[in-house]
Amino acid sequence: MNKFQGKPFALIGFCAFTANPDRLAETMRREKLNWRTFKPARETFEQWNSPATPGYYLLDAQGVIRRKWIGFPGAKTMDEAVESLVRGVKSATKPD
Amino acid sequence: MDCGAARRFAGLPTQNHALETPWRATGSSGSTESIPRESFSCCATKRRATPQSKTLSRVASLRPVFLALAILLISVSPSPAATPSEDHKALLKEYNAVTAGIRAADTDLKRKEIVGRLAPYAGRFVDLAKAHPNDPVALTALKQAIQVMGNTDSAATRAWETNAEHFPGETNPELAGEITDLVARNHLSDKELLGVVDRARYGYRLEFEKILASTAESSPHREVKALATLWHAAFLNDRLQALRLADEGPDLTARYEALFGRDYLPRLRALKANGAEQRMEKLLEEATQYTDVKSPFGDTIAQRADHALFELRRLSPGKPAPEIAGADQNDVPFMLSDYRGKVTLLYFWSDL
Repeated sequence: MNKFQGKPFALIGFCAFTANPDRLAETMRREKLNWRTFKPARETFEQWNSPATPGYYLLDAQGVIRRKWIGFPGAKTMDEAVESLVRGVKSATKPD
Repeated sequence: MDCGAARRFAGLPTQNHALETPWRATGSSGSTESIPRESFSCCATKRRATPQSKTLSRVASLRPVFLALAILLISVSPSPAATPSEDHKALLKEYNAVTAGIRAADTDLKRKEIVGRLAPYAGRFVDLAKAHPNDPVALTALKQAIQVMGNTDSAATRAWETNAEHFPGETNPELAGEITDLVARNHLSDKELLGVVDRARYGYRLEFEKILASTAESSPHREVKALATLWHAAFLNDRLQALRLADEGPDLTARYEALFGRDYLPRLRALKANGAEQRMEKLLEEATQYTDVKSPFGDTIAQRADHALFELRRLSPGKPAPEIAGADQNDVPFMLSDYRGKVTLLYFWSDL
């Protein structure tokens, strides 16, 4: 996902489970996980029907769910889907 | 080897055969002939023996044979028959020992090797259930067979995400059908079926749907029926998700075929074409009536069903993502909608 740095794209995590929620930042630094993430929150997680991990929701710039993968769909599939939406944002914001 | 040679070999003093009367043996023709002493394998005492003592000494000479026979008999004769429960305990112990290795494995290759060793235990648990169909251990063994299949299938599919190693899909492809038939034949009214239902829900094998469907339909136990109804819907949901993934990623198609057989994806498509989504919704609506039955997670079956219905109706492509408000890893509050204006990938992850 590094290729989308500097583009209208954000990777936001939702940590479903971690061994020690109070030391999440430390764990992520150690594991070199560089995304911003919601800390575990049971109520929200259950509201989203406790998705299996990894689970991905791809939202467009308006916050509408465009793709959903419960399970890893493969890097190529994800990159292409993100790319296609990012391209849409760029062309929508491009000055005439 | 003659007696002397044997003794020499053994480092024992030899006897002087030259001092002894030549031993005579009677041949089958009745004629008597002199046989060189060296032809006999044993020594002077034999030559001096009376008929009675000869018999005794022959018996004595056969002692090693008797001993060997006795050992053989002890080793092949059935030990006091193990009970089904003891058989099960022994098998479980063996399985757990192999499973323990997977936690210690620190490379994908090691994990792959252990997963390969785990897979055959599914068949062994089924064999145990077949050997004792009327013993309570049968249902436990079937539950464990499903669990083994689920674990190995899960390890294989997870490996697709993390590395290029293909985990072995060595489970007998007919085993899932066999387990399903055994459950349907012998255990549908069993209260302990709850554990099997809980395992079947996470199974990848399409045959397990029958366990969930028949239990939901015919279990006389309310809590078993409730869980089977909910998990039947969850099973359908998971399989439809898998189909979506496979249809989007052609590289996954080959992997599914290798692991679950060439007919797996066509069967998933048939499941979808036969109204799996509608069935799922109907099952979830049914499950909302179980407000008094606990789920394995401590909430109720009805609450779980509500969340699943929420996903079905509100978390589908085309629907606005519900808001999430929480704290980040540095305890800074933020909201999902803060990223409006950007394409956002919301990634549910876990470090466990």
